[in-house]
Amino acid sequence: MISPPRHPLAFLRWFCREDYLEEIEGDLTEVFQKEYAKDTRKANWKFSWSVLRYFRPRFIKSFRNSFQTDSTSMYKNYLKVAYRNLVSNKGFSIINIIGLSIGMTCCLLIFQFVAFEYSFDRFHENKENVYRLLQTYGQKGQPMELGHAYTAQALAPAMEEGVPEIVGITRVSSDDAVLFDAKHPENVFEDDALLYVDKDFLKMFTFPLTAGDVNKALEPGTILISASAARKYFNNDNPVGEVLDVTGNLEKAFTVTGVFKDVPANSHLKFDILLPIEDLLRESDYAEEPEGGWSWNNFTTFIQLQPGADLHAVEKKMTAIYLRHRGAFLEERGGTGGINTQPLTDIHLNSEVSAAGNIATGSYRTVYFFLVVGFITLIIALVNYINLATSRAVNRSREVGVRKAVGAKRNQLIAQFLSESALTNIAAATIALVLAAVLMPVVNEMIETQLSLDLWMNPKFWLAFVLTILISTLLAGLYPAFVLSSFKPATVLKGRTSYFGGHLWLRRSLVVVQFVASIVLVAGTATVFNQLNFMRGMDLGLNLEKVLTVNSPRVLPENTNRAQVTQTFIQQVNAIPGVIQAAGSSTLPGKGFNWNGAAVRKSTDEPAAAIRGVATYIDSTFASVYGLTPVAGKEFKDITWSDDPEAPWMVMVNESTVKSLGYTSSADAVDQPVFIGDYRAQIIGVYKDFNWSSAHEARQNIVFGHTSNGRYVSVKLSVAEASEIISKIRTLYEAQFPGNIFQYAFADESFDQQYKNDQRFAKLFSVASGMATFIACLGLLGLVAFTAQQRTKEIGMRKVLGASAVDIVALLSKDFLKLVVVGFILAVPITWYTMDQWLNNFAYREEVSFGVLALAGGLALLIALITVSWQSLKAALANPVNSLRSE
Amino acid sequence: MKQHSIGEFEELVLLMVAALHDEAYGVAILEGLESNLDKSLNISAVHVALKRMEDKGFVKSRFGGITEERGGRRKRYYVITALGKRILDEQYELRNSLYKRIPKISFG
Repeated sequence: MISPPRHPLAFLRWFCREDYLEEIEGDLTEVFQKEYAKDTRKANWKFSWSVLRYFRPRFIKSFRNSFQTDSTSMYKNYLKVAYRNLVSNKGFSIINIIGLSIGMTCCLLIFQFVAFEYSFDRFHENKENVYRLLQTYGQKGQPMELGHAYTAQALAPAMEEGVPEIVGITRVSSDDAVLFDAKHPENVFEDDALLYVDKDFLKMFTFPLTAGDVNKALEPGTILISASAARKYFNNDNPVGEVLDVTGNLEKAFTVTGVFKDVPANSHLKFDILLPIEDLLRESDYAEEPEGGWSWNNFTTFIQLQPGADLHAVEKKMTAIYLRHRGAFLEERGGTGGINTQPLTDIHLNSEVSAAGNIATGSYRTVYFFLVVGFITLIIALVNYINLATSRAVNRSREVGVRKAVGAKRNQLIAQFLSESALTNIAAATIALVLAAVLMPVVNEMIETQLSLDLWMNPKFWLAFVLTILISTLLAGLYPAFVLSSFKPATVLKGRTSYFGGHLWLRRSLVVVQFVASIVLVAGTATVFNQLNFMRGMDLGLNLEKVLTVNSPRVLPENTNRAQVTQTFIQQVNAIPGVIQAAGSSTLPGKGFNWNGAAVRKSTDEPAAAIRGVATYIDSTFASVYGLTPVAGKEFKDITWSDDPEAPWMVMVNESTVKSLGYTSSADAVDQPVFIGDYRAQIIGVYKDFNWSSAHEARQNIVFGHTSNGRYVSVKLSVAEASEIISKIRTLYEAQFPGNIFQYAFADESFDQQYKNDQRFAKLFSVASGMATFIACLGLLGLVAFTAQQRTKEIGMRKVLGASAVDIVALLSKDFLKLVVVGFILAVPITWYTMDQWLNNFAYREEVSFGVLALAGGLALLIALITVSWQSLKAALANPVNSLRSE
Repeated sequence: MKQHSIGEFEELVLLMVAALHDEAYGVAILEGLESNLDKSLNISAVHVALKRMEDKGFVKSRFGGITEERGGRRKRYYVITALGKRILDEQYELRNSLYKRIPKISFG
């Protein structure tokens, strides 16, 4: 008998009311049979057509009922069974929940860190339209990174005049100062976060005033202070009208006209005090700046564009204006330049560009890196779930068989196993929330961030949180759910379990993946610490040990010769027992230079041949305090100073400068005339190369000028115990310089400050890798425990037949340890590559050492061994009677 | 009294059910109508009419035995109810009385 076409029939059966189906199907079949005898094709057609004709309300069944049959009680049952399973396998549940909650905590904290880093400067209302201007400079058609965002004072007025799209523009110049309430001159404070800004500043940026009038703010002679500064300096929330005496780049009394809310932690500009830039430009050296104010690049310039302005066109206009003023100057030096813009919200995470008022230290690379580490930790925890769930599949097979036999569909079983995964994940996520909240202050302290629970008020956070739970539920639960639900009831109920081994390779590869990740992280951490130690222990060519640095006085009585009082102070310090020598300088090692990007050339060379150098000022004894080694010529202490204003500038240089300038030897360079910028200078001597800056920086061409009144006094001590000497210096300082604050530091410690970011990175990294390894070991523990449990009888028999405990431990551990070894072998190239990339950030770097790799691998193996043998020993020591008698 | 309505095709199906008496099931009705009307019909139309009339109470149904040519499916036999018969009678009366009122018209 010919049966009617399959698909239309199936369709009919799907939609047709059950009480009509038999009759309709029967009649249709009968008609079909008769038609078929006459015309095959037509019969098929007619059958399909007829089926379609039944697709009308009268014959369609009510789907609502069929889908709702008792589904709530079914889901309730899923949850009940899931819960019972979690409770009855406490060990596995705890391993899963602990692992997942740690992984999720890491993720939560890292996401919070990332969200914080991304939130920088996004609180400004005009964030979309505010840009920072960057000057570019190129030589011989090769554009060069300037690495800073400093521009000249004349840039802003020229741009404002020439570019109509600019609706707001401000220059920013940072300063530090000592200051006091004019009524209480005895209470002196020091503040290093002053900004001189243009009037537009408050319109462009969202820093709201809590007292005072915005429209009258930043008039000459006025000052704005932050709420906390108001409390600190005036002990008063509204000190409008009070007078603050400031001694920084300016020495002046300012009237407070307003108070602004404290600058948020996620602002790249950090300041306590705002001063009108007009005062700075009129009343300091800037008033006589050569070349019409285009000469000194000391200001960061921000512009605000009209909404919808064409940025590219604006950049072009700005470059044209800039070149109109500076084109000739640049050309003379064989260079060219331009003006670029950088969006406000992009500044923080590109912090390799230095700028006024910007001390934040974000980096896209760090952010991405930690995102990856966070995911890895979570994935290791998810792998634990997958491994434990699939390995326990055999225990669940009977349940699956029975459920299937009584009519459970496969997708119902999948739903059931997913709900188990969901339950575990929700429990873990809840614990993770609590842990993250508790650990947040610890993390803040450790990596010096200001994360807060504010983020948790954001609905987006909860959306992401729920999404994370959902995704991790699926990742963890989907595979086990498919495996478990695929069992054939007849086979599993018969008790044949041979085919459970099929997933062994997967479990094994997942364990290998876990250990690859852990070993990479551990080896990476070791490499980072290795590099940190290397940088700290690096021979700088400078001796920073037992060197105390003191800030020179800011406030001096009128008509005092700064050089004279500084030298007197240095001599008095020299007289203190325990002091070897004191010296003055304008900056300190690790604190940069006074003049970045000085064009240095032989006086016989073209300007275009100039090399880039950096300059700073030291006094005659500085070299001996810091142990600089002269290799040729004289030093400052050896020469007599002429009073001739036409005499060239006497400078010392380092060996790198000599080489870069093209002298054959250091001796050749001595007494040679050079140009530094536009200044005529003469090299009097050469120092052996040394590292003035961190190991991130390659060796620079350093030029030392001479000064007698440095901002810092460095004191070399003969003893490590400094407190007594410090108090003596303090007494001396306070007697000599009333109205100043005695501030000191140790040169080696301040130098290490440069590595703060690297240390922060190392700390976060080590915690993350520790957690990852811990979670991986938890998983291993679970797997071994399970294997031991499965093989209880086998172990019992082996013991009865004479196997020793050692044999049993070896039997159980061998397989797992092999996996760790495979993981190690795979981890070596990955670690080597990634860490080599990271080390490339440093000009002075360690190589990725195989010692470190071996250490990490050995550590992973050791931890794995301890984990594995703990469980296997327990199994090996159990009395075989217990395992064997029950059969 | 509720007005019982019946469509033209329904009336034909009902007549067929009545005519076939105890042997009326889907395919038999279909074939009977097809041969009398001399045109091809779709089985679904018959089913729609039958189900509608069953709802109205003109026919009732019962399952018959299994036959081979239907792939093991039982037939559903329909029989006319008293109400169905009365409707047919009324229709017949109506038409008859109207027909009789036709004057003698010659088309010659």
